[in-house]
Amino acid sequence: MFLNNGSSIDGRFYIIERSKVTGQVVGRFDEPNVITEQGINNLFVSLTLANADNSNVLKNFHLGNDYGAEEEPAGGWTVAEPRPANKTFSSLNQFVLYEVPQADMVVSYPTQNSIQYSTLLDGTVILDAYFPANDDLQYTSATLRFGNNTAFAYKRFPVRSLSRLIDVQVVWEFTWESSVDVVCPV
Amino acid sequence: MTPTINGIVTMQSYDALTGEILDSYGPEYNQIVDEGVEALWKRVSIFNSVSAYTMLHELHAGTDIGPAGEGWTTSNPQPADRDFTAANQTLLFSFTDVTFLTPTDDLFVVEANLVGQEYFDGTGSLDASFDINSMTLRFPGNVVFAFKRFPTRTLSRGVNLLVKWRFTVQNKDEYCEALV
Repeated sequence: MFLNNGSSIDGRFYIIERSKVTGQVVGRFDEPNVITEQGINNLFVSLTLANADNSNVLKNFHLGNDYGAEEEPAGGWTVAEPRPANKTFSSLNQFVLYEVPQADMVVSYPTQNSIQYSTLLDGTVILDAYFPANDDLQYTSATLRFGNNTAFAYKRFPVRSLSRLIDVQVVWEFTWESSVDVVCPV
Repeated sequence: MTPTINGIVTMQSYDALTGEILDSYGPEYNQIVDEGVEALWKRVSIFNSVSAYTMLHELHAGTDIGPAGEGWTTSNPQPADRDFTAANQTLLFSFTDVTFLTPTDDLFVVEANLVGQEYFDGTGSLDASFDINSMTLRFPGNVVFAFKRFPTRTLSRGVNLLVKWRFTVQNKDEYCEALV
């Protein structure tokens, strides 16, 4: 079976951790994400709104420490093996630890069909400002949210650590592929 | 979820007086074009958006069927491609009386009632009827989001055309499951 002339949005989420001292890459995470139903709805709604309404504009990343234990207590989920996000997830599924200021977000358009959001998390600045008593900040999820706080994309991952010795680059890239053929199993 | 987005066009010609359905077309898939995707990404990423990167606002009807000499006809026009732009459409008339609906999270509907009499009032044409072979859904600035070519539809003072353009979202896996 083929479905012609459809279009797909592929999202990919990256974390790149670097030593503040040497600049060496000390950790890397790279996987496809989940685009939520609410996110798609916001995308559609944004097509019908007039100028200057920022509620449906993608704004910033949120980092959280949710891993699925409260959603599914019997699931055996841990910070090392969190329950994967699914399309019904919303911002309410995330326990937010840190919201990246909009001013720290960088938006670029690598191709006509793609968009990339990125930021650099400075471990020293963030910990000194928001978590001065902590040695590190441990997080297991990220969302990219619209101005109205709706999550467009959601990713859970094995626990990562932001410390005063580490800078973390977070990158989220979305590509709209046109005219895909969806090949279904026979 | 990797969302698969499908734009599906249906059209119904109907008697302007009685409402009787005279002819139907579709559902047929459309083509979401590259410049439309670019405009969409900028629409959702630029705060206090201005100029071209705003809402979808009108339907354009055209008479284009494809390059001459390649065998395309009014009954079998060249399908639209992802790199099509407004320049690929031979514009006949624009319709701004368009309704946008988002009834569910995964459905976006564009509806327009193309009234034949409005074309004649707008253009002063003395012809008995007019034919169209293409439709585009556009942002301001003539940036095309979606493009569809189709076998000739004929409108007149007595025949209108109801256009429905539905954009649906499905997970690829769910789409396959629904076919079983």
